[in-house]
Amino acid sequence: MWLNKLFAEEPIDFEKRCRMRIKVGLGVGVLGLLSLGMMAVLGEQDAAFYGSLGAGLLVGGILSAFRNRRYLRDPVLKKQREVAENDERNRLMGLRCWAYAGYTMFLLLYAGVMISGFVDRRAAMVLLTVTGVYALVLMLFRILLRKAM
Amino acid sequence: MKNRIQELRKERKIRQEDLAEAVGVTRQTIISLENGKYNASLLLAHKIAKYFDKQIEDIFLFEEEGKCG
Repeated sequence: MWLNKLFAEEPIDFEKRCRMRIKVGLGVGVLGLLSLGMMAVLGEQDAAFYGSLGAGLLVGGILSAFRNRRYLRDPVLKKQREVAENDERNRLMGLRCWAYAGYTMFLLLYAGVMISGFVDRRAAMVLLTVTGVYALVLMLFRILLRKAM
Repeated sequence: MKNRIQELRKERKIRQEDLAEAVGVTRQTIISLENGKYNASLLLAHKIAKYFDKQIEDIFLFEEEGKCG
């Protein structure tokens, strides 16, 4: 199952991962360019939003593609990065970071729903919906992991 | 869980970098293992045991909770 690839003991095909990151980085860069292009046809307020979003996507995407291209071209750097990304402790820390950030986010959302209920009903409904979707995603992963492990 | 990685490594005059490279992890992971901050997976424990030409239980010492000695 594809979820098994996230497990700390599963080896990573580093070259394949780099190539994928280059493609994704370039894709994100193109999205950034499109977003920048939209500035010309939009009003001042929307243009500022799409302009900053586009610039962020363009710079982020190109930097990611450039960094991964460097890993593929420099054998010493590639080896260092491959060991670091395959390292079980690093991968476990990465997964735990996501898990703890997830717990924290869920608690913050819950607190947000409780507080915003007194202030703004619409905001409370939006937060409640996000919390509900979050809980559903969490449940989905539990079911998938039960099958994978 | 305690382990004898540092003891065996020093006995054989092996650097942390060399052990890390041989078992495919970072030097930081070896440091954390030696300090007892991180417990190796079964796979890594197996690789380390193989590297030192020992059994896993000769390197990784399992202590049952509440049991002395």
